[in-house]
Amino acid sequence: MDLVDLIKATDFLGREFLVWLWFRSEKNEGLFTLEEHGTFELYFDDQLSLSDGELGGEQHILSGQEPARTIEAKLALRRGKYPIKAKLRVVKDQKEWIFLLNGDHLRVHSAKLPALLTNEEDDQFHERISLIEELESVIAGLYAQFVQQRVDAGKWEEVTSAIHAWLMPSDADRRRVASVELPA
Amino acid sequence: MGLLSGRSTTQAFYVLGEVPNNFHETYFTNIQNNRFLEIDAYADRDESIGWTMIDDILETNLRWDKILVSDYLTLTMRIDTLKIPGPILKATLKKAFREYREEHNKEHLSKMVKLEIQDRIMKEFRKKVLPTIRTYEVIWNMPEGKVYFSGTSTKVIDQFGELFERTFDLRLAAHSCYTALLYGGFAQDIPEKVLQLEPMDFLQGIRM
Repeated sequence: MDLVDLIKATDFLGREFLVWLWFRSEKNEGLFTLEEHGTFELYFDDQLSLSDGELGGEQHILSGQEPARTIEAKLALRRGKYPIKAKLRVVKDQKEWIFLLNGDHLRVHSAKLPALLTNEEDDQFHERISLIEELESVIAGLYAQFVQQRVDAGKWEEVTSAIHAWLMPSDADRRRVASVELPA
Repeated sequence: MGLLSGRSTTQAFYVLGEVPNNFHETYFTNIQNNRFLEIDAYADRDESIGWTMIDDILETNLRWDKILVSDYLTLTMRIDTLKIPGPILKATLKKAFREYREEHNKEHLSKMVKLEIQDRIMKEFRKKVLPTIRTYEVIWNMPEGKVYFSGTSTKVIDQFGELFERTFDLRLAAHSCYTALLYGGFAQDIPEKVLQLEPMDFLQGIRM
């Protein structure tokens, strides 16, 4: 397979990475730890796009206050629609980044960077590129953590069991489902 | 949206290959050879692609001390495209053909005459029409071998890859789930292990 084929063959990783982030963010109340960055917070913000992954397949874009925590989002996931793009918020060392993460390419879109502290033009350049690289490094570190678990069969079984339990509908969910108009 | 101001959209790349020791001389020469040039209204090219200073897209008088900022090589890729609106071109040609027929008392025009008229009209339009200007910021962290690019469309990324390779004689690999495994510091066996994986079904037994 050439590189283009290999990239296509592994693009499921991006969707699974977003599910993994979503699960961990919710279960650990947003707390993540990376050796290079210490402990920081990551939350799903006000936009989440889900798709069944089929070419030309329907996309569901959920927006509003924390759509990832809504029953509609969990229902979509339970119906086989995986996140393909999510707006995330990273809070680290009193700095905050808000950005869209595209799961297919792990590309950062429309990132709102923390406010610059310096006034000199040259220093502002260095500070800004440093903030861009810090965000890229956090995402790369989280992806590395995900991949290490993903290729470890034993570890991944633990993770999927936990995700499975997280996705299991509660009795309250079933009652709410009965009264909510479900996405097609 | 760009890398230097406002919200940042970033396509990251891995640089494949080594930067030569004498890059200060060779890269500056190559950047100048690939600097942006305005579209020549009298030529046939409808597009021009090249480098400008990162903080001034009109500045093609390039300065190495402004391009290399500590460990970062910074540039803007500028793409100018000349596009003559189809309907107005069609209407103008129709009028020019009619005027020629009336002036020369001809009922029909030969293909050669039509081509000559079309060529003249196109050159007149090319002098009058302003090109569409698109700019994309490029920041290359040279020690880390990583490039940040503010364009995301497939065509623009391809154009950038070609310009970068032509200028620096180095190839780029766009950051993706798979290329991160190859060039992002993972153990050598990880890409192969990932290729053995099947997509996960998180929903077994709980679809609703």
